[in-house]
Amino acid sequence: MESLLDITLRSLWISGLASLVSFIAALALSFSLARARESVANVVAGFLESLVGVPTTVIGLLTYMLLYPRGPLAPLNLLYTPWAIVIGESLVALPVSAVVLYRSVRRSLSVVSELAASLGLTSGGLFGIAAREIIPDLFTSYLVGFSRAIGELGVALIAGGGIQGYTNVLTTAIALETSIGNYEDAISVGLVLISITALITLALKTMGERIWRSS
Amino acid sequence: MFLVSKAVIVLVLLAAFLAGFAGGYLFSSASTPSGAQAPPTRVTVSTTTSLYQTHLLDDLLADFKNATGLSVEFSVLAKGSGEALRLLSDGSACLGFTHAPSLELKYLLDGSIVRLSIFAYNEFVIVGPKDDPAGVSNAASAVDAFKRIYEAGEKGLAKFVSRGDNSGTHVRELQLWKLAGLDPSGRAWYLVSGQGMAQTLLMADNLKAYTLTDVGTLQSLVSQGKISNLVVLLRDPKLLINVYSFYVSSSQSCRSKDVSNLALLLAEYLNTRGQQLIASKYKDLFNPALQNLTVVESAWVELSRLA
Repeated sequence: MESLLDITLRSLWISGLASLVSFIAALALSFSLARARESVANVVAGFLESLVGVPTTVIGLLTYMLLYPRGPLAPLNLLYTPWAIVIGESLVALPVSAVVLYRSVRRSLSVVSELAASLGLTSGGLFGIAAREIIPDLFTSYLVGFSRAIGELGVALIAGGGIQGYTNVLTTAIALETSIGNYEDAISVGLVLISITALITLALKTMGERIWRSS
Repeated sequence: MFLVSKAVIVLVLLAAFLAGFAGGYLFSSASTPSGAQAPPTRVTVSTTTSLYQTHLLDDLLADFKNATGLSVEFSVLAKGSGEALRLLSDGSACLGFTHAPSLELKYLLDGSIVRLSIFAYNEFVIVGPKDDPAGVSNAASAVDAFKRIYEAGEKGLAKFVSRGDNSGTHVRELQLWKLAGLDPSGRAWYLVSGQGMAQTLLMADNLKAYTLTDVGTLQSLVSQGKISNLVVLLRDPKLLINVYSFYVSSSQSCRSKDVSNLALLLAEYLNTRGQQLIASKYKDLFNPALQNLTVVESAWVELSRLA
């Protein structure tokens, strides 16, 4: 097995980047949805919610089919590179990030717009207040996306390949060590995975709340 | 309002994808060294897990790089032979190391892979609990052993764990059942693990069940002290020979000059210096194929015909 530190760092940057991409997309998506007609928004939000539970292996296969030598994106030569995992994991994280964020944006907008109407605020001021209201949920949205991305195996194994020194991340290391009967190493990698997600969740949550209080 | 938001959604999705691709582009240019040295090419290799687990493949590839001085990076994907061959025929991997003659023949015939070398062989063995309730150790052949396991299984005395993953070992197991004229699928004593060899062996060990395994994986688990109940009960050099071959994909994406040169060099290495490495460092696990090539090749042909 290659060094645990290398695998962990690789996991962090790949999943961090993937969840950042999906977070930005989720941000735009949820604000657009919140401003869209309610009937349309409900349909789209329901669709997103149904995507939250799609098995990551299915998304992994999809990513493989996009990138493999006969797929539509084959010329990019991304199969079995870290970027293949970034693409796949951002698809994995997008629905759950968007659902969390959309709910919060919708709620705060409806609360704030009543307030704004009574105070006679402009729509710019309204958005300012609404944006402040959702700060903690921004962190939550990023975090759920990140946890889903770093904990998923399907994309990392099928589109990333679990190549030592290149695309081997925490989950593929667990799968690989398990498949060769090395349960002890597999469990130690698993413990790292658990502590990382727990630590990062705690850290970012407290940070989010600090920012929210101080603003 | 709604029109604007739709445009925003589309734009952001586009931006997200573009960011990913830009990243990919940057990465591929970043991995090119700026000096006069030629950029190391990255070649994807799919392999059966037994070669990966015993470290034979790692050693061979490292020694190959030492011997030739080529700056090449191998991306090794450890899969079952079925999946490894599928990746080869897709062109997702360009080089492959497998041990499933009948599957290999299928891909050879449709022209998606080309065999460059038969480089090693060892054997499969039938392992089971020490007390051997089915009497496998007295069996005359592997087929006879499978018949005995079937009978004992029907009587509730024995269990059998099958890989069930279309790997080389699984394919061989199915061939043996077919030769015995029996179909164990769906029987209560016939357990399908759907997992790799090591997990299947550990499962059989825990359940005191019989299973078919390659000696490489078995040895590596035994030497780690992970097997407590299983012992080797039957060897059958004729039916249980296990042949490892080296293939190159003939898919469009692997037709570059670099890849075919590399494949030929690697094949040449496997047939010369690689043979010595197998003989010296992996004496108990693998046999170099070259010294017995006619025997091994005819065994491969016979096995490939057992559908």
